[in-house]
Amino acid sequence: MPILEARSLTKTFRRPDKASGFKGAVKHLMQRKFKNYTAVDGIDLSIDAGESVAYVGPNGAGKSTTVKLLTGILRPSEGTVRVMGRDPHTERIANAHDIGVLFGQRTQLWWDLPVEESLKLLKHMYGVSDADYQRRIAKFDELLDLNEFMPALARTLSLGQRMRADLACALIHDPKMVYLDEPTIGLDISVKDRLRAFLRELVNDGTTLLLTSHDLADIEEVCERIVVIDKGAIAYDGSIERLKAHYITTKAVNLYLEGTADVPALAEKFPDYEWTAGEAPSEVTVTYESGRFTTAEVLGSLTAQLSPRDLSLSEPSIEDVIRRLYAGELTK
Amino acid sequence: MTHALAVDRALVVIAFKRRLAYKSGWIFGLALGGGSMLISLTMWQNLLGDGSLNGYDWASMRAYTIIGFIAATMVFGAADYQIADRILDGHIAVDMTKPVDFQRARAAEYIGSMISTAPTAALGVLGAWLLFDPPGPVTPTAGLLTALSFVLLFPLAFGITYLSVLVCFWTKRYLGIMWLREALLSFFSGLMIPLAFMPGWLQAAAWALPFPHFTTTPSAIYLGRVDTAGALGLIAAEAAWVVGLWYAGRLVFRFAVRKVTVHGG
Amino acid sequence: MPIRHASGVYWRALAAHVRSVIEYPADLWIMATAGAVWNVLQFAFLAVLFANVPHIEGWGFHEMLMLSGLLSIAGGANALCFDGAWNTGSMVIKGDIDYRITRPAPVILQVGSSHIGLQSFGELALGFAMLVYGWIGAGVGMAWIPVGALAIVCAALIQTALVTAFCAVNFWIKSPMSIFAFLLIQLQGGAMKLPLGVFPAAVRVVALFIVPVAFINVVPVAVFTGHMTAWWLVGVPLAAVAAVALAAGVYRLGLRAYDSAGH
Ligand SMILES: Nc1ncnc2c1ncn2[C@@H]1O[C@H](COP(=O)(O)OP(=O)(O)OP(=O)(O)O)[C@@H](O)[C@H]1O
Ligand SMILES: [Mg+2]
Repeated sequence: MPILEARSLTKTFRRPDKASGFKGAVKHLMQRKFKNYTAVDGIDLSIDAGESVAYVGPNGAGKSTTVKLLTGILRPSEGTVRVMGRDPHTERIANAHDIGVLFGQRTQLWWDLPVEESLKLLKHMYGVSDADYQRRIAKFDELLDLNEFMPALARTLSLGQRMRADLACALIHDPKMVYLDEPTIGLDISVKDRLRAFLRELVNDGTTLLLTSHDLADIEEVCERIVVIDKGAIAYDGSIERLKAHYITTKAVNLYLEGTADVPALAEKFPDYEWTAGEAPSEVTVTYESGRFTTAEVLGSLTAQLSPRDLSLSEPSIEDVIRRLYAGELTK
Repeated sequence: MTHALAVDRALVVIAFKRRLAYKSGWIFGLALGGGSMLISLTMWQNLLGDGSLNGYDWASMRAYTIIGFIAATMVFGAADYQIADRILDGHIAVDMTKPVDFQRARAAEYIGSMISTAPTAALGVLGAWLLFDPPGPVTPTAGLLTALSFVLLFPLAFGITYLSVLVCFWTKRYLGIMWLREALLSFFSGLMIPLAFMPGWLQAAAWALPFPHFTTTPSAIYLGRVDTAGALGLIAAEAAWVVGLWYAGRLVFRFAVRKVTVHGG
Repeated sequence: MPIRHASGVYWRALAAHVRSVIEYPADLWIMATAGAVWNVLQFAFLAVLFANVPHIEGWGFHEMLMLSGLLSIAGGANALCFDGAWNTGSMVIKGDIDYRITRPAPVILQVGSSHIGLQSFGELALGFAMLVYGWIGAGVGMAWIPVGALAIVCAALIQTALVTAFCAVNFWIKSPMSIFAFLLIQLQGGAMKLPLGVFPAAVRVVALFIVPVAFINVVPVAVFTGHMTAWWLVGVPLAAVAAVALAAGVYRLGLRAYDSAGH
């Protein structure tokens, strides 16, 4: 049985439809006109216990709005959400015990209190026992170095420290279902690495995870399943492996030639490959279908006839696939 | 027009427009000021009836209360928060790098925001005029001098506000300072109760402060409680406060600015 | 159990704030002074007024002091125990209600306990001083003390609940400033320091039965001093219950209309 189930989930925001400036404001006051904007448009999503799902999409696609619908923060305009069989909006308090939420853009720490006070307040709010609390704090400290800033006031924390503290807040009650909306935004590489390792551990321990991020490395390292959303609708839903197998059908070689590369002439000479100019005049990129040619074949023919100064293979990334998904070049 | 004056004018206009665009602010100011005025009038009508107290009868008390309303709307509706916020969030460090005089620029903005309370004041006065029909000024000269004393309220309000806002260099919040200032102003201006009702020592204390000019000075001139010479004397005192507070602001600022490095960033 | 849990959460949050305030006392002093000075000047106003007039609508100096004192206590209690409600508007705009919805405790309590109004210390101290001074001066008997205690509790509840309900209007009118609540306390602060009798009937009806601010201070003091029959006291707890229900209801509706912020 799925731990989370959303059916034709839809959220429509009402936006004031007014012209800018003073005149527009007065006009709006007289005849309050609104435009409807559908941020999430009929999403069906089902997540099984223990799954780790990446939820990606371009800016404004409706990711955060979906998370807010799934956590009961917003009421759906249409459709239903069930988390462990409960409606998160109407059965808010019961649901709250089972979920953990982090919005990377915002903190849930009490702004003018020390981090430790915030954690203690949450401990009592969730009714966490002293023993569990100590154990979890110790574990968070081990993985996230919490103790370093436990006595600091929340408003004095750096972004990375704040995010780690917020993560501890979101997980202090050992929730079964965790939603993380951009947990790595603005973090440096080493903190990101630690965070990812931490999330992997979380998933290994059996927590169900829904993660949104614009950093695809987060997703590749932590998640197995990926859901791509665009303009409020799901564009792809499946395993990351399948996504790669399905869509990564080409590979590429970068050549560094002696002198300037004449791209049209080369394209005429090797019509089986696709040629594009590189960054420098002497550089050129050759793209070929991985099903038709082996890399050895391609390299053999190219080096024999062009004798390049140097060459490099570029591994096609999931990023390219996602980019093409966003651009609407690919369909389910 | 010199360059500095052009900058002043631009700042006044920007602050004025910014406040004016905030339309709920007007209605709010009207409800608040108008409501307070009505409550005050109700009380005085009840107390005075057909008689008079300390030289105020019901007719003159109507004019007094309306004058108090105008002064209160001007000074409580201005944008003092913006200056405080700039100090508290460290923005002041950016302001200091700009080629304009900090105090002068803030004065221009503050006065612009005071001007934007004009619609509220005008509507309130119009309503009060229609409802209560207060007496006019005793003489045309008195009317003119009353207007002059109101004009001087612009720089005077800035002077007091600025000086109190500078305290934010030493605190984390502004709210308490604002309340303290507003409490003192409400009481010692005569807004709550005319100074003439107070015992001598309290009146002396009030006149040692800049606050009486916010209600007592204009109303005394308007109602003819002072003659022309007395009116000019009051206005001179008001002007002296304007100048004194301006330089006091400069002095305190110079002292406080050494703290900028602590707050800033 | 849920109520015990909720109140536990609430008091803990409040206590944590008190601790943090005590560690950084500079602002505490300024704010407490501001609260005290407001009340001292209130006292001065009444003293000056009654040096010139014997009474207003049959109310003397000490009776009027009790009015001001009880009102200050109510306002101070609100600022001490539920000042966070004032932030409802800015929380709605910034989407700061989000996390509070995902936690297992009533949102209204989480918001209310998110801040402490430091002026409350000054207000409460001076408010009690005025009430006690007025009480003794007006010759209100000891027998009324238990009722007085109940009136204080109800006053705090009504004040807090009304302010909270008015702040919750900002769930719909998106603005960081709690204009309606501010208007409420300002006009209340002006009008409810005077006997109800000075006002026209319409104002009295509003203050008693529509926005029941009169039950905070005017009604109890009027009963203690014999200006109203004791039957009116029944209205005090009723008004408290109604106001609390109103606040909870408006907040609940507000959360249904809550749209979060766009990020
Ligand atoms: N409270 C709101 N009121 C009105 N419109 C909103 C609100 N919240 C979101 N929107 C709109 O809904 C759309 C989706 O927003 P959402 O925050 O879900 O995007 P997102 O996928 O999380 O984007 P990003 O990657 O930039 O965070 C946007 O066009 C946004 O402007
Ligand atoms: Mg988002």
